Amino acid sequence: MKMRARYNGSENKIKLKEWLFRMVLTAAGVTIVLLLGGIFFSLFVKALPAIKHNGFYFIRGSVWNPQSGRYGIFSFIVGTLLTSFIALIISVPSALAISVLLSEYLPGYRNGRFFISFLKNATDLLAGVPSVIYGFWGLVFVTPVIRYFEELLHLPVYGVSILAASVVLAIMILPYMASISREVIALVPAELKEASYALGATRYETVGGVVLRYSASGIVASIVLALGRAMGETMAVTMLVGNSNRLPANILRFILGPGNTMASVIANEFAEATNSVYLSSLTEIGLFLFIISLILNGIGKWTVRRFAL
Amino acid sequence: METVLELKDLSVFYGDRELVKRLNVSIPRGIVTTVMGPSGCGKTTFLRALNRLHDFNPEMRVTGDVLLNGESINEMEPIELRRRIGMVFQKPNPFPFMSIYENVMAGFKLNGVRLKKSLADSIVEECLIKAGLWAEVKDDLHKRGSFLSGGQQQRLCIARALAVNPDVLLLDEPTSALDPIATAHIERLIVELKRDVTILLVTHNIAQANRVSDYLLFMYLGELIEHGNARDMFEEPKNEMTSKFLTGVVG
Amino acid sequence: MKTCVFERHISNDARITGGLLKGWRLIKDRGFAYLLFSLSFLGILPLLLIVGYVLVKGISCINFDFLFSLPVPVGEMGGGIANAIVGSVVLVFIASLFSIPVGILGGLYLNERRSSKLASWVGLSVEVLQGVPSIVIGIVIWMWVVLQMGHFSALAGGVALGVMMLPTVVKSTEETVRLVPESIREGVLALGIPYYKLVLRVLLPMSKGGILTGVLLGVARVAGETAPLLFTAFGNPYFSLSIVKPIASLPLVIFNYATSPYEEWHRMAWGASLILIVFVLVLNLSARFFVSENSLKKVFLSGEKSEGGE
Repeated sequence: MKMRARYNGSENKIKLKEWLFRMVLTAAGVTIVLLLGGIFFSLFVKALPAIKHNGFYFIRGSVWNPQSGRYGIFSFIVGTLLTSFIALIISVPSALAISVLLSEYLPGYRNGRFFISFLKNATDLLAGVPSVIYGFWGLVFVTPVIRYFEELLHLPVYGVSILAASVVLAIMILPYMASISREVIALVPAELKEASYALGATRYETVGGVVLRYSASGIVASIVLALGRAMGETMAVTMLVGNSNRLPANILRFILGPGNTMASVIANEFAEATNSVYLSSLTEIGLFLFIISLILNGIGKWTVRRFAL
Repeated sequence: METVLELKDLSVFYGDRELVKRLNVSIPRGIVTTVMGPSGCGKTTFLRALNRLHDFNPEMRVTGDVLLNGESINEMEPIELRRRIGMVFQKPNPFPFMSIYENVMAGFKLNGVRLKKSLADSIVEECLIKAGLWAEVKDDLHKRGSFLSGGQQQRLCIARALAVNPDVLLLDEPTSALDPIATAHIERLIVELKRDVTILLVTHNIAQANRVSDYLLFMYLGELIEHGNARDMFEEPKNEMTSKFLTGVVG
Repeated sequence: MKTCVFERHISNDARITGGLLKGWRLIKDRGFAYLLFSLSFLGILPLLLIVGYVLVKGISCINFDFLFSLPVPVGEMGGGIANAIVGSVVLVFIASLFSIPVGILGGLYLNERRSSKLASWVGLSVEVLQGVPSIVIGIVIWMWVVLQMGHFSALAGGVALGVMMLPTVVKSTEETVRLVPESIREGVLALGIPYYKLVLRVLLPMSKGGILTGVLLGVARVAGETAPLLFTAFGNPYFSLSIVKPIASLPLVIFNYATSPYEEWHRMAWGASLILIVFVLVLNLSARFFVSENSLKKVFLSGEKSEGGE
């Protein structure tokens, strides 16, 4: 009888603890959702005055002059797109080469396992280097080379430029892209590759005709994800891009000279923004960046998910 | 009977383990030869050595030699060997991103060979007829093959292997993933195909071996225990092991 | 009985495998392999250059003075980055205080209530959060903390880093706890043990390794972040342990020194870079030590293979 009573009492205590526990877990989940919502909400609210003030000029206009109240980010958009796309063009071949090598060639070699882990560790290491260090290295290593070419082509000599930022950006997104496309390529069923070899195809023909065709959508997704990553990259780009708001008509001049990206403008000017419209406009850039990465990441991840199923 | 494949001391090693032990036998041309044995006896490993698929796995080592029409396969260029010895796998594996037409022509397409459209069309039709699939797909040649049943997919794979005109066709348990009706279709097909190409079939299904074989190889634990005319072996196996397997005592 | 198509076919035989075509195919095959190897090497080369550079240039700078003294005014020689090292530690500590509890609980929530509508929102939020550009997080935390306090602070910096660390901790917790076999859960529950005890006494201890990995990787990532600190922690040339005052950190110091015109500061930036890289490397290596690579992949990619079980 006594035991029964005690059991009943503690049963209620247990139920209470259970309920509390589930509440705490749910609270954590809700916190996360609210956090994200709060981020979006705050950005929007802070950017609102600028949205009203700037209107569509924000995207179309290329004059960014806080003194006169003109906030057009067109040249920053171009800078962001140029740096990201050039970075992609430079890094996609290498990233794909590494992925194909890892899944199709190296496993067949006698010492393959050593090189596989070497390559994997090397790319992971590359991915772990902090952005500032990339930027610093770029300042010391890449800009002199660009200065050389600027002199050669009789252009104004800066060193820091869209190209400098693009090159270092390429190195930064390479491990990310290699990692995702490696995952995607590894999903090609072995039996399809076997069928191709059994028909007498060479490795080149199997890779081109079967492996890459099968994983095409996944590879495109990895490129989209890398693009999203590149667009949001701040520090290395800020250190290397030159921070100038010019927009020359000649593309070559633009690439070999200083420019700006959306992220680098924020990094440079936010701490010194003087008036509230200025701050609000910078926040508007932040909101814009947020939405773009959302879209790119969304498309990329959704495509990879579909591909893996 | 003429010999199409001659095995000389063929062994296959996985590391230190000898999976296939010194096979010496001649495979006759123009008939269906079946390699039988219980699971794990090395018959699939042996089959894959014939078109040098083990080259892709650094842990497999193949010793000895195989003569295809008198030529050593070790001295041939592997890609040419694989065109002359075709293979159909246990699980049907048509290329999902290619149409039926493209699948049949895959042996050419992947090898970078471009044929005149009229020639390609006639090859596709001929091979699909030979594989018993033409009537069912002739109006859908340019669609992807995802609507095909397992049995139809396997026949597509057979057509694909036939398109490059091999001397020998290796079939690795081609019906083990299929239902009985599809299996019956394929078995009928095997018997018809031997008019055009020598067939080497691997199966662990004794009844199937009985239905389709002309010549039989019985393997057990990597060794070739007995080989000979199919009817003779089934009626009067010379080796005790063989009769144990055939009557179901072993395996 | 071959048909005439096959006979025509045979005469094409020579064209298919013989002669020039055969040589060309082999050239393409070999050439492609060489191309792949060269491209891969080119991709890895920068790593060697960067790490090598940092090592060579930074090692000459490292001495007791450098590690333990404070920066000196411009123009004077010497000085160190002690405040930055301490600052980084403080910031990471604050970040962990925020992100580890919420992260683990969030990961547990995702595991327990996999199918509820809220859970899919939480999962989505985690994914989105992982992709937010770091500078944008800096802006938001500036609004939420710096504006309210009226000045920059270590707290703001720590919170910003915490937000960045959160998705990593949530995902690694979720992945690891998911791996615990159903049979163990059922066995414990069948003994009449309440759910919360199952989690606290069994699941969490079993998932220690994976969670720790997530934490270490998260720390490694945020330790090197600069952008979110630019207008939250802001940096501080003096030694400070206070969470309500601005604070220095290694990445900020590297940024400031590297973009300055002073040679002496450049030299110190290399030293700081070396310390930072070693720190991040050690964290990454110890994280790998605890768990297999498969689970790591799931944490950092979209988790596409994690649905539907193994």
